[in-house]
Amino acid sequence: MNQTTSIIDRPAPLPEAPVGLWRRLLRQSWIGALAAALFLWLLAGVVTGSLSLSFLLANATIAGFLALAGTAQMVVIASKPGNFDLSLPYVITFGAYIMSAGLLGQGNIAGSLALTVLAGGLAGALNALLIVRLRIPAIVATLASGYIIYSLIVAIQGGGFTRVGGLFEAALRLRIAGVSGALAATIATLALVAILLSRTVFGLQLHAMGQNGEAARLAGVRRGWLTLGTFVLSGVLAAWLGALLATYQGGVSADLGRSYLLGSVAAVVVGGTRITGGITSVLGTAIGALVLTLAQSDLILLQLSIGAQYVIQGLIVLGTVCLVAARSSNRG
Amino acid sequence: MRDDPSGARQDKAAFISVRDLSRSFGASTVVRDVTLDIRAGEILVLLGPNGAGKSTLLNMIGGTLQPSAGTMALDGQAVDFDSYIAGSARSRGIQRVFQELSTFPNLTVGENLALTSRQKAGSSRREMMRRARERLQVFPGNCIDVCAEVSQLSVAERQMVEIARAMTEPGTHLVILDEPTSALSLQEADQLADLVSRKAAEGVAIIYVTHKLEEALRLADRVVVLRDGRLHFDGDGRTLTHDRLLTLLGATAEPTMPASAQVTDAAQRELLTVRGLSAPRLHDVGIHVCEGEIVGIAGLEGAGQRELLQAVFDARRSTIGAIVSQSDMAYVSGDRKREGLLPLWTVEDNVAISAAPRFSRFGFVNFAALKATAGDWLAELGLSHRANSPIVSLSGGNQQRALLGRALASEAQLLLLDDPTRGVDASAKASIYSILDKVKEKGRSAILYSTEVAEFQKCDRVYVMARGHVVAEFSGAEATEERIVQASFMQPSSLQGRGQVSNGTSPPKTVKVEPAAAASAQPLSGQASFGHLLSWRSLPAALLMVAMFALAFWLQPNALSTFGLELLLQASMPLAFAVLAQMLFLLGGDIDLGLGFAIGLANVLAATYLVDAPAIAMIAMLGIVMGYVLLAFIVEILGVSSVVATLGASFVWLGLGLMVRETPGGQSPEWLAALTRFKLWPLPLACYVLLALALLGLWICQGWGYSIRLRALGHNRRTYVSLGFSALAGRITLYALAGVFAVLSGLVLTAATGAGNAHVASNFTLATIAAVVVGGASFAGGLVSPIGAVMAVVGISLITTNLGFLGISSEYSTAIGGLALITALSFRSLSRSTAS
Repeated sequence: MNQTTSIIDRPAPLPEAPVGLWRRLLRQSWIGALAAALFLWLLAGVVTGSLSLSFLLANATIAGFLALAGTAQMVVIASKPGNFDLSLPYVITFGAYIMSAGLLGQGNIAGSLALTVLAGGLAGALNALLIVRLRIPAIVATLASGYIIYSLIVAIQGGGFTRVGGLFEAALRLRIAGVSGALAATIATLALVAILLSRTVFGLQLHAMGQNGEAARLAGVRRGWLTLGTFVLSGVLAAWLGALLATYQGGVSADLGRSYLLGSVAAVVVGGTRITGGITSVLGTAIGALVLTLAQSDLILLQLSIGAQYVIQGLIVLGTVCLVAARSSNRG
Repeated sequence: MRDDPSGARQDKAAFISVRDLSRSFGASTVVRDVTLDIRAGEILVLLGPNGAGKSTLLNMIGGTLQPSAGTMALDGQAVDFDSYIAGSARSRGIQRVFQELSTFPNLTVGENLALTSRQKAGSSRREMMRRARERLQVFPGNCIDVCAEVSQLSVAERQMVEIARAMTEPGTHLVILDEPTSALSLQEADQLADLVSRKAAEGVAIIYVTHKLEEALRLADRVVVLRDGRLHFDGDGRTLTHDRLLTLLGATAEPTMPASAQVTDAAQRELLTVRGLSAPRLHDVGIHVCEGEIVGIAGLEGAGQRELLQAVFDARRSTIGAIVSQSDMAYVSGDRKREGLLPLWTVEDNVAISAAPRFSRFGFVNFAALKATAGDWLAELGLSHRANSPIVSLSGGNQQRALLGRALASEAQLLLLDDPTRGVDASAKASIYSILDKVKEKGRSAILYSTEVAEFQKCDRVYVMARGHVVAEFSGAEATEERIVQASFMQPSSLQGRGQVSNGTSPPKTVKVEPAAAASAQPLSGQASFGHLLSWRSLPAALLMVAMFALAFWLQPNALSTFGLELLLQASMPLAFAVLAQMLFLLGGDIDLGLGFAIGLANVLAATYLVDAPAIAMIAMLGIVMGYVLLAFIVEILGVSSVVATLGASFVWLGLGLMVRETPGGQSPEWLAALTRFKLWPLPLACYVLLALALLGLWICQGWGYSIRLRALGHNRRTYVSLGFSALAGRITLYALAGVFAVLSGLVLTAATGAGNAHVASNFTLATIAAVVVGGASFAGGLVSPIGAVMAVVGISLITTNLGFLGISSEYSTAIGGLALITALSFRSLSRSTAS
């Protein structure tokens, strides 16, 4: 159904022959999303009467959270065609609860963070175990593990929760030149993931496995371990996001992660990344997240009802995915 | 070089006349000005090296590809290519046996035969099976069970079904057979040859594509050779000789390679030792490979060579059971598309991937060094100029060279070559041989499996396999083609006496039935039905439902009454409608992640408008169904993943629902509520509804005239389309029906809750997927079990009820649901792995 294109879309690990900078830029998959983000920012400027950088940065903080979720989802999507992580929203919420539960003592933020990340990694390992050992399709395995994690959330929900507070909260909320600490943290995380995907053996083999799992196996890729790495990475990112959200927002609820299931896939798609496996673009996903966040802010500024906001977001997702698909099938 | 096909054969009018047919893909012309007449009752053998344009020409004749130029006439009538899709080709009496098998493994043999049959259904299932049995008689003495799913058949049996399907269709004028004997035994190939001659005598024209020259000489009335897309030869086949054919095909005279095989030094280190390896399709296999040795694995296709290579590869750099490996290995497969190419990458990246772990520190790749190595190997292979081209833009031969480069770049001591010259032309073959020579010079070793016996001349030693056994070993000069071929047909000694003999070389001396076979030959009926039960796909769902009912009656004995049952089952009604919607998506190989919100929208619409403005409500609900049809277009035409399309749609459904009604409210019309209160002695209404839904689902999947096609589409869209069916129509049917069930689910919810709430069904989306899967659906598509799905829905709803009885928070029902899902799937994966 989907034809393969000859366009390599990944942070080029092997630099190509020099092409005009502009032409190369215009060939990037995320260029459309970038234009859309600019347009939405300008639109907000027109509506409010002033083009403000702080509006953009405030949105960027929210978009950063979405970008983290999107990146977690993107890694899974890239590992095999048809792979999705449906447990993502539950892992995010789970991470937020563990972060605020203070299981290792109230003041021990570093300990809580480590525990949260560990829990995320374990959730990912559970997914990988179901997928590799029981040969369950990822989408069902993560659905099942999501159910179980949700019950864990319910189980620990009763325990008291406090603000994380302390230096960590202060750091995340700190703003320097409009850039919040939370935004800086997400950008740093995204940069790390981008390096992991583009400069390491793990990243290289992940892209190979996503394109053609059987070929990758015969080229010496240990698929089981790589799948484990993929889902652990996704789980760790989700739990880390949960920790950031719990701290930055100063509270948790069982619904914390809910919107990130649709949002994470939407960010990947709107970022222009084709979801047929073997392709990643952290930058694209980040821009996609920014577009979605800006669109929502604009719609609120335009005083559209919550329903209309959803409809328009849905149409944005459907529109981009159709556009990307139509463009690539023309090429193929 | 063209013999005018004049004389005696002119007397019959041509069934197909092809004039100056051409086809180009981009800049390259694959078929050029081919002019050909095919007459009734003629056996035309089409030959040509790989890439000569045979498949393209057949695709145009068979109506799966439009020519760029040229005309064609069928029975003297000019063909309009725009309307000449494969379906119409079939309706005009053209049948095709595909090289890649085009039967559907999820359908039974009988259904596969009925799928393409022009004799319309309307007849019973029994009639369908009877007809199938009759049609399979073209292979006398076959033991194919027409009621078995094709997935349970061997490759040869599948090919027989495929051939029977094409050859027995009444009203056939032309049959195109594309390498039909590749999987058949000699006896079956003989039966096919008889069949082909018989059909030709009946006046059916045959186009027969083969690579086996003996077959060509035996069958051909007429031989047509294509080379480089042009008609190279067209003449009488009965006067041709083997050598003449070789010349026509452009084969340079037998490449008398110097016997590179030297007697190996016995003191050489063994890289690989396999002793007594037994695995599926492998029996007590023992081989060894020394340093600097090229070892061949010969035998008929499917005698276990590939399985052996795969088992050896899995044990690389370690000792697993019977395999002791001293070195790393690299695998090169001839099935480039499936097992070789990384299609999104350049040639260089494709080569470099295997070397990446070697050029890394702490997991970080040294790209400069990696690039240099890849560049070196590409230079050695003469592919430097294509280093930055996408690998898919290369010819098959060059792709194969690049993949050999990948194996070499890994620096593995032992190369496993799985038919590496499959589908590459003569010059590419020669260059692959020369690479092998270099490999050897450098002291590396290789195991070569090839389908062409001549290639084993390269080898120092050759093992010959037959039916999973190593039956012979030849070293150096002993390994002549004749000996290898002869050994390939040998009967493995341990198999002697097992009744069926494929050829007459060694008739069984004593007919002794093995103990194991004897035990299975007389199964106790109880055991058989137990096995049948275990293989029932819906077993986990049934167990879940029964267990939950038992638990409920045990906890609340008074639930065992009409009213009690009603209370127990009421909650599952809306979900049961929803599960059918999701099941239809899974039937088509898709997933609906927007189902819950679509149901919520229907619920809100019903509660808001159905009382005051029923017309608006009806139109709006029709709009939901139309929305699903639109999704079908997006998924089918644009090739968007259904997951993403329905995810996007879910935003829209939810948004629309909130626009109609932001906060819960509204009312259910009296008639709707009355409908659900309807009493029907002795069971509560819900029982009847659930049963009816299960049966309706079953009818959609099994009983309907269209259902075989829908299942075929769900399992393999590409084959479905190549048979000339419209995938769009199928998908629209599935999605529209799913939309209808979503609306019905919303209506039932309205009646049950008496209000509208856009979020009311938000957890239905994942719950329905879980229920369909627990119920027995396969994610491969085309395999669902409606009865199982409905049972799973009941079971899952009862989990919540039971937790309530036990005084546990209903929130934990999700955990149990998740565990049920995992248990069901692991159960299935276990039973599958024990079965195979």
